[in-house]
Amino acid sequence: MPLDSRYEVNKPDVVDESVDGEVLIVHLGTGAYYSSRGVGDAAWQLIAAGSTALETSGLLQAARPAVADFVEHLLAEGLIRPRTKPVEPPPFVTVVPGEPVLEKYTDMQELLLLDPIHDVEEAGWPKAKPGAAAE
Amino acid sequence: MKGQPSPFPGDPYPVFGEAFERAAAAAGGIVPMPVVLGGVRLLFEFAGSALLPRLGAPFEHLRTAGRPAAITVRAWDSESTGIGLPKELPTPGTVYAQSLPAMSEGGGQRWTYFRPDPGLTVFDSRTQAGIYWVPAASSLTYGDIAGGFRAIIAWAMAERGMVFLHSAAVAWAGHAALIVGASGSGKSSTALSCLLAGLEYLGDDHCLLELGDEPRVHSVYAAAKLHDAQLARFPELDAFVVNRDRVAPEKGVAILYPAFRDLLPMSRTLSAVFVPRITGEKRTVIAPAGPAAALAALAPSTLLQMASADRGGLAKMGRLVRQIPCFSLQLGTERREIAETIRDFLAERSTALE
Repeated sequence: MPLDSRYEVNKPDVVDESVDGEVLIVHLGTGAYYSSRGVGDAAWQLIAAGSTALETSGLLQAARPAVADFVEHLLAEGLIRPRTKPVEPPPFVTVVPGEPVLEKYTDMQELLLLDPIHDVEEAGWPKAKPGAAAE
Repeated sequence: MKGQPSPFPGDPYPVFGEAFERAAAAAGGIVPMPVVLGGVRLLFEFAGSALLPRLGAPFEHLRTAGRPAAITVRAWDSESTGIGLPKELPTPGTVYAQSLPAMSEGGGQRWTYFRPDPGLTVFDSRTQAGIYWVPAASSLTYGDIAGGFRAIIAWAMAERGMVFLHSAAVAWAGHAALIVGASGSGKSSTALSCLLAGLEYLGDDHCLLELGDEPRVHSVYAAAKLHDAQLARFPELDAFVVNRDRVAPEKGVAILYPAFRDLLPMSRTLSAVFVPRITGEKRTVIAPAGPAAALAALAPSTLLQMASADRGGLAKMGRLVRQIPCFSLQLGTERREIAETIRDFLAERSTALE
């Protein structure tokens, strides 16, 4: 991942909200959700606005390899994608010490994976897989 | 999903309407049920009465006399009417899961299949009309009884700026608290403990959020879902369980109206968000919590469970937790004390705010 690449949030599958120095990111396609506090929240906001990893590490006075790893993680999870939109002015963020860390939660994935619709019956209407779990 | 083609070419919606009318004629007519939900008038129309005891009963506390309605939902089942889904429709090329409804190309219609299978929910945004079909009343799961028409309600209310929350809610002295968290976090038991101690009950799993200067929570279902251990813990509710034909691990659904009619308000001002945690300690304690913790407890399950009703819902929930104080509800083992702690807390909020 080049340090000067620019990204954007992978909408509409990904939604995010920053509250009180912590960002919550939900991937509606996979059912996984993520949080990142402090410097991670700030880094997310900068990257989402189009700042590169290099710019982000400079603005946050954070170690370049740590920011690069963070961006790599966001990409690997499908939370960001190469930018197609114009870059936005960097948002105001609070600089806090530390390294950005992305925490991943998968306990809600079953809400998607439980959907037991897989086959289509003769009449053309969907049919549950035998033994599919109920809600 | 926006951008994906409708599973059915053209506009098949009228075909469902015709099937409903044939079903109603076969079942002795349309049984109307007008309700007010979140300040919006809805008209449920059932083909005959077979679905009423399970699908209509949770909305009885919202019943009104007035018409016309802003939203109409027509429901039928094949077993009691002999009318199935129209077979002349083309085979859906793609099958869509509950959480990711198909949308017509213009975005005017939403479609989803839902449990129990096969079942169908359709909502046409242009006409504000919904269609709901199941094979039989007995095939409704506990989730479909205690969360009836949930996709249609979530979609239609999202268009009106409201959020269909995965949350319990209780109230005292005119002030309500949301109880948010994943399944098993204790929100349902907390809400039921409160109800049985005389607090008002706005839901154990689903309710409707309306933001504003004073955010409000609206009741959707006067129902409670209880697994066997909860039925043993709340034996007072056993008499109101309607799905006695269920097979484990299906939960029982207790219909709370009319037995608890005085404790089933349609709407209350929101004063707090509680994030419950079962501690195993005797005492129940309410302690301040950060808004981020409340958002993390509320948002993922709401967004992932509610048929992707509103991708802007996360921003609305973010606004809520910034606007309303959030607390950790450290649940003790004494059922009565849980309710008393919440009651005293809400009474204090009421005194402080009035």
